[in-house]
Amino acid sequence: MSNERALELINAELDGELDTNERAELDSLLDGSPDLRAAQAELRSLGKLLTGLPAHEPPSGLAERIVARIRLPERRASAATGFSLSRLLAGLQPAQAGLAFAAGLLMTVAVYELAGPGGHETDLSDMVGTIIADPDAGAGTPINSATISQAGVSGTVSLSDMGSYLVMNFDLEAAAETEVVVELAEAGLSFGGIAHASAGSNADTESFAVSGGTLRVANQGRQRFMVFLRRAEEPGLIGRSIDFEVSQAGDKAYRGSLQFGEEGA
Amino acid sequence: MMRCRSGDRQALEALVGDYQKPVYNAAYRILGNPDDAADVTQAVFLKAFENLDGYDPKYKFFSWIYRIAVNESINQLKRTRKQQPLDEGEPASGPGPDDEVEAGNLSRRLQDGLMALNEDYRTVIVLRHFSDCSYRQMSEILQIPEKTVKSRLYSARQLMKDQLLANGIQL
Repeated sequence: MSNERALELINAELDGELDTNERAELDSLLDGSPDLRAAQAELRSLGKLLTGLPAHEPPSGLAERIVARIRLPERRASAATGFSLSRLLAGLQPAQAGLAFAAGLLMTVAVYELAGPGGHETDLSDMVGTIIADPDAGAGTPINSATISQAGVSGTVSLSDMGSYLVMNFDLEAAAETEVVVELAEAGLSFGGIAHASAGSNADTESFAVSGGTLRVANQGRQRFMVFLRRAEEPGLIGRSIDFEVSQAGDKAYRGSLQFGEEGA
Repeated sequence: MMRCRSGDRQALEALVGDYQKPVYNAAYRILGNPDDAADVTQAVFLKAFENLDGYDPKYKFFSWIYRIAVNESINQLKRTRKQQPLDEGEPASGPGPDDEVEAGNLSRRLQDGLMALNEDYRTVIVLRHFSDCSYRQMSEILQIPEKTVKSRLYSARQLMKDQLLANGIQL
Protein backbone atom coordinates (compact mmCIF):
# COMPACT_ATOMS: atom_id res chain seq x y z
CA MET A 1 0.00 0.00 0.00
CA SER A 2 1.54 3.29 -1.06
CA ASN A 3 1.99 6.40 1.00
CA GLU A 4 -0.06 8.20 -1.60
CA ARG A 5 -3.05 6.02 -0.83
CA ALA A 6 -2.58 6.67 2.88
CA LEU A 7 -2.41 10.44 2.30
CA GLU A 8 -5.53 10.22 0.18
CA LEU A 9 -7.31 8.54 3.06
CA ILE A 10 -5.95 11.07 5.57
CA ASN A 11 -7.31 13.87 3.39
CA ALA A 12 -10.69 12.16 3.15
CA GLU A 13 -10.68 11.72 6.93
CA LEU A 14 -10.00 15.42 7.36
CA ASP A 15 -12.98 16.17 5.13
CA GLY A 16 -15.29 13.77 6.94
CA GLU A 17 -15.66 11.70 3.78
CA LEU A 18 -14.29 8.32 4.91
CA ASP A 19 -16.58 5.35 4.75
CA THR A 20 -16.31 2.43 7.18
CA ASN A 21 -14.01 0.33 5.03
CA GLU A 22 -11.72 3.26 4.33
CA ARG A 23 -11.65 4.07 8.04
CA ALA A 24 -10.45 0.56 8.80
CA GLU A 25 -7.92 0.74 5.99
CA LEU A 26 -6.52 4.03 7.27
CA ASP A 27 -6.32 2.80 10.85
CA SER A 28 -4.38 -0.20 9.70
CA LEU A 29 -1.96 1.94 7.68
CA LEU A 30 -1.44 4.38 10.53
CA ASP A 31 -0.78 1.58 13.01
CA GLY A 32 2.57 0.66 11.59
CA SER A 33 3.81 4.05 10.48
CA PRO A 34 4.94 6.93 12.67
CA ASP A 35 5.63 8.93 9.49
CA LEU A 36 2.04 8.62 8.37
CA ARG A 37 0.81 9.60 11.82
CA ALA A 38 3.01 12.69 11.64
CA ALA A 39 1.61 13.51 8.20
CA GLN A 40 -1.89 13.04 9.58
CA ALA A 41 -1.13 15.42 12.47
CA GLU A 42 0.24 18.05 10.07
CA LEU A 43 -2.78 17.92 7.80
CA ARG A 44 -5.13 18.08 10.76
CA SER A 45 -3.24 21.08 12.06
CA LEU A 46 -3.45 22.78 8.66
CA GLY A 47 -7.18 22.10 8.57
CA LYS A 48 -7.64 23.59 12.04
CA LEU A 49 -5.65 26.69 11.17
CA LEU A 50 -7.70 27.32 8.04
CA THR A 51 -11.06 26.55 9.59
CA GLY A 52 -10.12 28.68 12.59
CA LEU A 53 -9.73 31.84 10.52
CA PRO A 54 -12.53 34.21 11.40
CA ALA A 55 -15.34 34.99 8.99
CA HIS A 56 -15.46 38.61 7.91
CA GLU A 57 -18.50 40.81 8.12
CA PRO A 58 -19.54 42.24 4.76
CA PRO A 59 -19.33 46.03 4.58
CA SER A 60 -22.20 47.82 6.23
CA GLY A 61 -25.09 48.48 3.87
CA LEU A 62 -23.92 46.00 1.23
CA ALA A 63 -27.12 43.94 1.37
CA GLU A 64 -29.26 47.06 1.05
CA ARG A 65 -27.25 48.27 -1.93
CA ILE A 66 -27.61 44.88 -3.60
CA VAL A 67 -31.36 44.70 -3.02
CA ALA A 68 -31.80 48.25 -4.30
CA ARG A 69 -30.06 47.39 -7.56
CA ILE A 70 -31.98 44.22 -8.31
CA ARG A 71 -35.05 44.61 -10.47
CA LEU A 72 -37.53 41.88 -9.79
CA PRO A 73 -40.14 40.86 -12.32
CA GLU A 74 -43.56 42.36 -11.87
CA ARG A 75 -45.85 40.25 -9.79
CA ARG A 76 -47.00 37.58 -12.16
CA ALA A 77 -50.52 37.89 -13.52
CA SER A 78 -51.23 34.29 -14.18
CA ALA A 79 -54.87 34.69 -15.08
CA ALA A 80 -54.00 35.62 -18.61
CA THR A 81 -52.92 32.09 -19.20
CA GLY A 82 -54.76 30.76 -16.21
CA PHE A 83 -57.20 28.14 -15.30
CA SER A 84 -60.66 28.31 -16.73
CA LEU A 85 -63.75 26.24 -16.45
CA SER A 86 -63.82 25.56 -20.18
CA ARG A 87 -60.28 24.24 -20.04
CA LEU A 88 -61.08 22.09 -17.03
CA LEU A 89 -64.08 20.57 -18.73
CA ALA A 90 -62.21 20.22 -21.99
CA GLY A 91 -59.63 18.19 -20.13
CA LEU A 92 -62.20 15.68 -19.03
CA GLN A 93 -63.21 13.07 -21.55
CA PRO A 94 -66.78 13.62 -22.79
CA ALA A 95 -67.69 10.16 -21.59
CA GLN A 96 -66.40 10.98 -18.15
CA ALA A 97 -68.32 14.21 -17.95
CA GLY A 98 -71.38 12.40 -19.28
CA LEU A 99 -70.97 9.73 -16.65
CA ALA A 100 -70.93 12.34 -13.97
CA PHE A 101 -74.16 13.83 -15.23
CA ALA A 102 -75.73 10.44 -15.76
CA ALA A 103 -74.93 9.52 -12.20
CA GLY A 104 -77.00 12.48 -11.19
CA LEU A 105 -74.17 14.32 -9.53
CA LEU A 106 -74.94 17.90 -8.84
CA MET A 107 -72.26 19.77 -10.72
CA THR A 108 -71.61 23.06 -9.10
CA VAL A 109 -68.51 24.66 -10.39
CA ALA A 110 -66.40 27.32 -8.84
CA VAL A 111 -63.08 28.10 -10.41
CA TYR A 112 -60.61 30.19 -8.51
CA GLU A 113 -57.94 32.01 -10.36
CA LEU A 114 -54.76 33.24 -8.78
CA ALA A 115 -54.83 36.61 -10.44
CA GLY A 116 -57.42 38.68 -12.16
CA PRO A 117 -57.00 40.13 -15.63
CA GLY A 118 -55.65 43.31 -14.11
CA GLY A 119 -52.84 41.41 -12.51
CA HIS A 120 -54.22 41.70 -8.98
CA GLU A 121 -53.59 38.64 -6.93
CA THR A 122 -56.71 37.17 -5.45
CA ASP A 123 -56.36 36.33 -1.80
CA LEU A 124 -57.55 32.77 -1.65
CA SER A 125 -57.07 32.41 2.07
CA ASP A 126 -60.17 31.11 3.71
CA MET A 127 -62.06 30.87 0.45
CA VAL A 128 -64.44 27.98 0.57
CA GLY A 129 -66.00 26.38 -2.42
CA THR A 130 -66.56 23.28 -4.41
CA ILE A 131 -66.37 22.14 -7.94
CA ILE A 132 -68.33 19.02 -8.43
CA ALA A 133 -66.99 16.52 -10.89
CA ASP A 134 -66.79 12.80 -10.93
CA PRO A 135 -63.61 11.69 -9.24
CA ASP A 136 -64.30 8.09 -10.23
CA ALA A 137 -63.91 9.09 -13.81
CA GLY A 138 -60.58 10.73 -13.11
CA ALA A 139 -58.91 13.22 -15.39
CA GLY A 140 -55.80 13.12 -17.53
CA THR A 141 -53.10 10.49 -17.84
CA PRO A 142 -52.21 8.68 -14.59
CA ILE A 143 -48.63 9.34 -13.44
CA ASN A 144 -48.24 8.09 -9.92
CA SER A 145 -50.17 7.20 -6.78
CA ALA A 146 -49.74 6.60 -3.06
CA THR A 147 -51.77 4.40 -0.77
CA ILE A 148 -52.46 5.56 2.76
CA SER A 149 -53.22 2.99 5.39
CA GLN A 150 -52.92 4.55 8.80
CA ALA A 151 -55.00 4.36 11.93
CA GLY A 152 -57.76 6.88 11.42
CA VAL A 153 -57.15 7.61 7.78
CA SER A 154 -56.86 5.47 4.68
CA GLY A 155 -57.27 5.74 0.95
CA THR A 156 -55.33 6.79 -2.12
CA VAL A 157 -53.79 9.93 -3.54
CA SER A 158 -53.03 9.80 -7.24
CA LEU A 159 -51.50 12.20 -9.71
CA SER A 160 -52.50 12.67 -13.34
CA ASP A 161 -51.20 14.77 -16.19
CA MET A 162 -53.53 17.10 -18.07
CA GLY A 163 -50.98 18.94 -20.15
CA SER A 164 -50.62 22.38 -18.61
CA TYR A 165 -52.01 21.03 -15.36
CA LEU A 166 -51.36 18.23 -12.96
CA VAL A 167 -54.34 16.81 -11.10
CA MET A 168 -54.12 15.31 -7.61
CA ASN A 169 -56.98 12.92 -6.92
CA PHE A 170 -57.73 12.37 -3.25
CA ASP A 171 -59.96 9.53 -2.13
CA LEU A 172 -59.69 9.29 1.64
CA GLU A 173 -61.71 7.89 4.49
CA ALA A 174 -61.06 9.55 7.81
CA ALA A 175 -62.63 9.02 11.20
CA ALA A 176 -61.84 12.49 12.47
CA GLU A 177 -61.29 15.88 10.90
CA THR A 178 -58.37 15.71 8.56
CA GLU A 179 -56.16 18.35 7.04
CA VAL A 180 -54.38 17.71 3.78
CA VAL A 181 -51.45 20.03 3.07
CA VAL A 182 -49.91 20.17 -0.40
CA GLU A 183 -46.67 22.06 -1.02
CA LEU A 184 -47.24 23.72 -4.36
CA ALA A 185 -44.53 26.34 -4.62
CA GLU A 186 -41.66 23.97 -3.89
CA ALA A 187 -42.82 21.83 -6.79
CA GLY A 188 -43.02 24.82 -9.12
CA LEU A 189 -46.82 24.55 -9.25
CA SER A 190 -49.63 26.94 -8.48
CA PHE A 191 -53.21 26.38 -7.50
CA GLY A 192 -55.66 26.16 -10.37
CA GLY A 193 -58.85 24.85 -8.85
CA ILE A 194 -60.46 22.19 -6.73
CA ALA A 195 -63.27 19.79 -7.49
CA HIS A 196 -65.13 18.15 -4.67
CA ALA A 197 -67.48 15.23 -5.07
CA SER A 198 -70.76 15.56 -3.28
CA ALA A 199 -72.36 12.27 -4.30
CA GLY A 200 -70.83 9.30 -2.55
CA SER A 201 -69.14 11.59 -0.12
CA ASN A 202 -70.25 12.35 3.38
CA ALA A 203 -67.70 15.01 4.06
CA ASP A 204 -68.79 17.08 7.00
CA THR A 205 -66.57 20.01 6.31
CA GLU A 206 -65.27 21.25 3.05
CA SER A 207 -62.85 24.09 3.15
CA PHE A 208 -59.63 24.96 1.53
CA ALA A 209 -57.12 27.75 1.66
CA VAL A 210 -54.12 28.66 -0.44
CA SER A 211 -51.46 30.73 1.18
CA GLY A 212 -47.72 31.09 0.74
CA GLY A 213 -47.56 28.40 -1.91
CA THR A 214 -49.29 25.85 0.31
CA LEU A 215 -52.77 24.40 -0.17
CA ARG A 216 -54.71 23.20 2.86
CA VAL A 217 -57.89 21.19 2.59
CA ALA A 218 -59.86 20.30 5.71
CA ASN A 219 -62.41 17.54 5.60
CA GLN A 220 -63.97 14.75 7.57
CA GLY A 221 -65.41 11.38 6.65
CA ARG A 222 -65.23 10.21 3.04
CA GLN A 223 -63.24 12.72 1.07
CA ARG A 224 -63.07 12.67 -2.68
CA PHE A 225 -61.66 15.70 -4.36
CA MET A 226 -59.36 16.70 -7.18
CA VAL A 227 -56.87 19.53 -7.00
CA PHE A 228 -55.81 21.14 -10.26
CA LEU A 229 -52.25 22.40 -10.27
CA ARG A 230 -50.90 24.74 -12.86
CA ARG A 231 -47.33 24.17 -14.03
CA ALA A 232 -44.86 27.06 -13.83
CA GLU A 233 -44.58 29.09 -17.00
CA GLU A 234 -40.81 28.66 -17.04
CA PRO A 235 -39.81 25.01 -17.50
CA GLY A 236 -36.71 25.58 -15.34
CA LEU A 237 -38.90 26.32 -12.33
CA ILE A 238 -40.85 23.09 -12.46
CA GLY A 239 -39.88 20.58 -9.80
CA ARG A 240 -39.84 16.82 -9.96
CA SER A 241 -42.16 15.84 -7.15
CA ILE A 242 -44.96 17.18 -5.04
CA ASP A 243 -44.97 16.70 -1.27
CA PHE A 244 -48.13 16.36 0.77
CA GLU A 245 -49.10 15.60 4.33
CA VAL A 246 -52.24 14.31 5.95
CA SER A 247 -52.78 15.37 9.57
CA GLN A 248 -55.37 14.58 12.16
CA ALA A 249 -55.83 16.75 15.22
CA GLY A 250 -52.55 18.43 14.42
CA ASP A 251 -50.59 15.16 14.30
CA LYS A 252 -48.99 14.04 11.05
CA ALA A 253 -50.71 10.84 9.97
CA TYR A 254 -49.00 10.47 6.61
CA ARG A 255 -46.33 12.24 4.64
CA GLY A 256 -45.92 11.41 0.97
CA SER A 257 -44.34 12.56 -2.22
CA LEU A 258 -45.55 11.94 -5.75
CA GLN A 259 -42.97 12.07 -8.51
CA PHE A 260 -43.99 13.71 -11.75
CA GLY A 261 -40.72 14.58 -13.49
CA GLU A 262 -37.61 12.83 -14.66
CA GLU A 263 -34.34 13.16 -12.78
CA GLY A 264 -32.45 16.00 -14.36
CA ALA A 265 -35.46 17.09 -16.39
CA MET B 1 -36.33 31.58 -4.95
CA MET B 2 -39.72 30.91 -6.48
CA ARG B 3 -41.11 33.85 -4.54
CA CYS B 4 -38.33 36.11 -5.79
CA ARG B 5 -39.06 34.98 -9.32
CA SER B 6 -42.65 36.02 -8.88
CA GLY B 7 -41.58 39.50 -7.78
CA ASP B 8 -41.64 39.16 -3.99
CA ARG B 9 -39.22 41.81 -2.70
CA GLN B 10 -39.36 40.58 0.90
CA ALA B 11 -38.21 37.17 -0.26
CA LEU B 12 -35.37 38.85 -2.13
CA GLU B 13 -34.27 40.74 0.99
CA ALA B 14 -34.31 37.52 3.01
CA LEU B 15 -32.32 35.67 0.37
CA VAL B 16 -29.66 38.38 0.09
CA GLY B 17 -29.54 38.63 3.88
CA ASP B 18 -28.93 34.89 4.20
CA TYR B 19 -26.32 34.55 1.50
CA GLN B 20 -24.38 37.81 1.38
CA LYS B 21 -22.00 36.84 4.19
CA PRO B 22 -21.01 33.39 2.89
CA VAL B 23 -20.66 34.74 -0.64
CA TYR B 24 -18.61 37.71 0.57
CA ASN B 25 -16.31 35.48 2.63
CA ALA B 26 -15.72 33.03 -0.19
CA ALA B 27 -14.90 35.91 -2.53
CA TYR B 28 -12.70 37.52 0.12
CA ARG B 29 -10.60 34.39 0.53
CA ILE B 30 -10.27 33.81 -3.20
CA LEU B 31 -9.48 37.43 -4.00
CA GLY B 32 -7.57 38.41 -0.88
CA ASN B 33 -9.05 41.88 -0.96
CA PRO B 34 -12.10 43.18 0.91
CA ASP B 35 -13.05 45.85 -1.64
CA ASP B 36 -12.91 43.44 -4.53
CA ALA B 37 -14.87 40.92 -2.46
CA ALA B 38 -17.64 43.49 -1.86
CA ASP B 39 -17.76 44.32 -5.59
CA VAL B 40 -17.89 40.64 -6.49
CA THR B 41 -20.62 39.95 -3.92
CA GLN B 42 -22.76 42.64 -5.47
CA ALA B 43 -22.04 41.35 -8.96
CA VAL B 44 -22.92 37.80 -7.91
CA PHE B 45 -26.42 38.71 -6.79
CA LEU B 46 -27.06 40.98 -9.74
CA LYS B 47 -25.95 38.26 -12.11
CA ALA B 48 -28.00 35.62 -10.28
CA PHE B 49 -31.18 37.63 -10.61
CA GLU B 50 -30.48 38.65 -14.19
CA ASN B 51 -30.17 34.98 -15.06
CA LEU B 52 -32.93 33.40 -13.04
CA ASP B 53 -33.90 31.35 -16.05
CA GLY B 54 -30.56 29.63 -15.76
CA TYR B 55 -31.37 28.39 -12.28
CA ASP B 56 -31.93 24.65 -12.31
CA PRO B 57 -34.07 23.60 -9.32
CA LYS B 58 -32.39 20.20 -9.29
CA TYR B 59 -29.44 22.00 -7.72
CA LYS B 60 -29.68 23.81 -4.44
CA PHE B 61 -29.68 27.58 -4.57
CA PHE B 62 -26.57 27.39 -2.40
CA SER B 63 -24.66 25.56 -5.13
CA TRP B 64 -25.89 27.88 -7.82
CA ILE B 65 -24.95 31.10 -6.03
CA TYR B 66 -21.56 29.71 -5.05
CA ARG B 67 -20.88 28.72 -8.62
CA ILE B 68 -21.54 32.30 -9.71
CA ALA B 69 -19.39 33.56 -6.80
CA VAL B 70 -16.43 31.40 -7.78
CA ASN B 71 -16.70 32.36 -11.44
CA GLU B 72 -17.04 36.05 -10.66
CA SER B 73 -14.09 35.93 -8.26
CA ILE B 74 -11.89 34.28 -10.85
CA ASN B 75 -12.99 36.77 -13.49
CA GLN B 76 -12.16 39.57 -11.08
CA LEU B 77 -8.72 38.08 -10.49
CA LYS B 78 -8.13 37.97 -14.20
CA ARG B 79 -9.33 41.53 -14.65
CA THR B 80 -7.23 43.09 -11.97
CA ARG B 81 -4.36 40.61 -12.15
CA LYS B 82 -4.02 41.10 -8.46
CA GLN B 83 -2.15 38.35 -6.75
CA GLN B 84 -1.12 40.41 -3.81
CA PRO B 85 -1.43 39.42 -0.17
CA LEU B 86 -4.56 40.38 1.69
CA ASP B 87 -4.39 43.45 3.88
CA GLU B 88 -5.95 41.31 6.54
CA GLY B 89 -5.54 43.05 9.84
CA GLU B 90 -6.64 46.62 9.78
CA PRO B 91 -4.85 48.17 12.71
CA ALA B 92 -7.10 48.69 15.65
CA SER B 93 -7.38 52.13 17.17
CA GLY B 94 -4.74 51.18 19.67
CA PRO B 95 -2.21 48.41 20.02
CA GLY B 96 -3.95 45.14 20.77
CA PRO B 97 -2.86 42.41 23.11
CA ASP B 98 0.07 40.34 21.93
CA ASP B 99 -2.04 37.32 21.14
CA GLU B 100 -4.33 39.40 18.92
CA VAL B 101 -1.35 40.76 17.02
CA GLU B 102 -0.01 37.26 16.71
CA ALA B 103 -3.36 35.98 15.53
CA GLY B 104 -3.51 38.79 12.96
CA ASN B 105 -0.04 37.89 11.70
CA LEU B 106 -0.94 34.24 11.45
CA SER B 107 -4.12 35.08 9.64
CA ARG B 108 -2.20 37.25 7.18
CA ARG B 109 0.39 34.56 6.59
CA LEU B 110 -2.27 31.92 6.02
CA GLN B 111 -3.97 34.19 3.51
CA ASP B 112 -0.57 34.75 1.86
CA GLY B 113 -0.22 30.98 1.64
CA LEU B 114 -3.64 30.77 0.01
CA MET B 115 -2.82 33.50 -2.47
CA ALA B 116 0.32 31.63 -3.48
CA LEU B 117 -1.81 28.74 -4.74
CA ASN B 118 -3.22 28.79 -8.23
CA GLU B 119 -6.92 29.59 -8.59
CA ASP B 120 -8.08 25.99 -8.89
CA TYR B 121 -6.32 24.92 -5.73
CA ARG B 122 -7.26 28.06 -3.81
CA THR B 123 -10.90 27.63 -4.73
CA VAL B 124 -11.18 24.09 -3.38
CA ILE B 125 -9.45 25.10 -0.14
CA VAL B 126 -11.84 28.03 0.24
CA LEU B 127 -14.95 25.97 -0.49
CA ARG B 128 -13.87 23.21 1.85
CA HIS B 129 -12.44 25.13 4.79
CA PHE B 130 -14.29 28.44 4.71
CA SER B 131 -17.59 27.47 3.13
CA ASP B 132 -17.73 23.98 4.65
CA CYS B 133 -18.70 22.31 1.38
CA SER B 134 -18.69 18.55 0.92
CA TYR B 135 -17.03 16.88 -2.07
CA ARG B 136 -20.43 16.55 -3.68
CA GLN B 137 -21.28 20.20 -3.20
CA MET B 138 -17.90 21.25 -4.56
CA SER B 139 -18.44 18.98 -7.51
CA GLU B 140 -21.78 20.71 -8.21
CA ILE B 141 -20.38 24.19 -7.71
CA LEU B 142 -17.27 23.70 -9.81
CA GLN B 143 -18.94 21.29 -12.22
CA ILE B 144 -16.10 18.82 -12.01
CA PRO B 145 -16.17 15.17 -10.89
CA GLU B 146 -15.82 14.43 -7.16
CA LYS B 147 -12.65 12.54 -7.96
CA THR B 148 -11.14 15.74 -9.34
CA VAL B 149 -12.27 17.64 -6.25
CA LYS B 150 -10.44 15.12 -4.05
CA SER B 151 -7.31 15.22 -6.09
CA ARG B 152 -7.25 19.03 -6.20
CA LEU B 153 -7.73 19.24 -2.45
CA TYR B 154 -4.96 16.72 -1.90
CA SER B 155 -2.50 18.68 -4.02
CA ALA B 156 -3.60 22.05 -2.68
CA ARG B 157 -3.03 20.96 0.90
CA GLN B 158 0.38 19.52 0.13
CA LEU B 159 1.43 22.76 -1.55
CA MET B 160 0.02 24.92 1.18
CA LYS B 161 1.58 22.82 3.92
CA ASP B 162 4.99 23.07 2.26
CA GLN B 163 4.54 26.80 1.75
CA LEU B 164 3.62 27.42 5.39
CA LEU B 165 6.44 25.25 6.70
CA ALA B 166 8.88 27.12 4.45
CA ASN B 167 7.58 30.38 5.92
CA GLY B 168 8.20 29.18 9.44
CA ILE B 169 4.67 28.31 10.46
CA GLN B 170 4.76 25.21 12.61
CA LEU B 171 2.01 22.74 11.93
